[in-house]
Amino acid sequence: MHILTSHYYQQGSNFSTLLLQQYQCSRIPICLICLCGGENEAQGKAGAYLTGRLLQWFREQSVRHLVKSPEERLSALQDRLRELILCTDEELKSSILKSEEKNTEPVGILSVGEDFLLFGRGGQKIYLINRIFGRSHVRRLDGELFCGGGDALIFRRGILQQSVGLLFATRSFGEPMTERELGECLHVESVRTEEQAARHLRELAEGSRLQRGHNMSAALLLTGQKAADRRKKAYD
Amino acid sequence: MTDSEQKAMQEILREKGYRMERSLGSGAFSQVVLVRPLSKEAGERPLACKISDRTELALREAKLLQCADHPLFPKFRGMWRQGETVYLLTEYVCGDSLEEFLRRRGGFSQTQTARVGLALAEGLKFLHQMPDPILYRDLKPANIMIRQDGRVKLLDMGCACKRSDQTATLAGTVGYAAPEQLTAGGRLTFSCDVYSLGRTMEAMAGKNCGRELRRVILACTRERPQDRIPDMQALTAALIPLCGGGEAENGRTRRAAFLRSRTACIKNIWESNYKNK
Repeated sequence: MHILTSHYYQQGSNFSTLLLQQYQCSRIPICLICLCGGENEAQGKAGAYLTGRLLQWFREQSVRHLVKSPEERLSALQDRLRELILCTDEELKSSILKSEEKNTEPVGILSVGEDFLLFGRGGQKIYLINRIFGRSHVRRLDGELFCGGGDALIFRRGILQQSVGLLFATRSFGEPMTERELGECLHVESVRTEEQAARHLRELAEGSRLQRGHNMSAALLLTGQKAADRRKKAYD
Repeated sequence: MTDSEQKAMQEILREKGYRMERSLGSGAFSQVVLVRPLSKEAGERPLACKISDRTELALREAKLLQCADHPLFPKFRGMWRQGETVYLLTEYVCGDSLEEFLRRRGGFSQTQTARVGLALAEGLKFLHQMPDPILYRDLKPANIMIRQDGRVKLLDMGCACKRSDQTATLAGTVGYAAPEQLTAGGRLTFSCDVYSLGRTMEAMAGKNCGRELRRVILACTRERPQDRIPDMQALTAALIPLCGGGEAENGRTRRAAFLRSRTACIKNIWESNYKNK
């Protein structure tokens, strides 16, 4: 499984926070993405504090153990991640930041090889981009994932398929395009490099900026076969 | 469009000597219908009639279409104005849009992509090399028609403008327009169309994009205009070598061809070393 990631972060005044970490250990890719929305300075600082804690926590994990038995590790990590986010929320509420009674709105994914752990509280957008019957298909996931959850932190486990894309984006990113237009713009099947993916995200952001989009950030995760595996498959 | 509006439109077309057959599509500010001349002297070929309420834009489009006398663009056939509504007649192009093609078949081979790209580049080169150059500004699969004979036509000059007119409003489609095209104050050059053509070819080739074509596409779609292929002349020169390849493009046939040539080479060496002894 080969993973390609890219990101976009609007320059200038932007209260959203984006965390993207990608590693490889024993040829297994590990990826952590976390996006925190924010509409004002207080929410921005709260989001930055949460992602900072998340980064510190992630770097303390043993990557080798994670790679050896990802399923067991991800279930153990799910509990620790929940504890971390809830503790951080308590700290923020009682801190001098005084971030409005509203909790932070993180959304993200932790993937180890094919296994993934999706987490979030809603408020941001998640799109799944794949090909069905030879046609590009885009589906928004956050509605069905976080529906009815209220303020609760939701976790989902699963297996990443090949040749799919996951787009994590703040609210105004990609507006007012339809899902079909989003899929055409991202065009995941033609993306081979990070530069290409970054360009597609930038084009989407330009369109949103024209509609006065602000506090925009996005992260794209694409799965695919490695070039060596594709060549091997072609010659078999 | 309501029934009464449609009836009024049909009446206006009939007064001008045309019969409306069906709607071909509609956009935010205009509608395109298929019309046929009522009198036999005018010919039996159907025409496309674009009906637009944006008078200024439609008049500008008509003027630019009259200048675009190239096989890539549909021929201008006439226009008239009824109050604030402009009726623009052009040649009807029978076929499917590239967008529809891609949706149905998924992608083109590298050679096919390069050939379509070359046809588009030739037409855009014509626009760019006019005495008062024209920028197309809205190149995308939805505006490209593939005729039944395989030829390519570029429709909808609604976003086109003269390069000298730097005060033209922002125009283009997100995902295909160059970054400077969607930024207020961005300087428009020929490389805007180069960017859009690069993105269109990227959409066409999809996962079939070979190394050579990918290199050309990357050179077309750099963020800064000064880093891109500068104009259609240079892009045409880059695409020509990619068009001549036969259908043997996939890895298996390339490897088979390589092995055959290697076997032939070894045979030649053996013959020259041993057979003559």
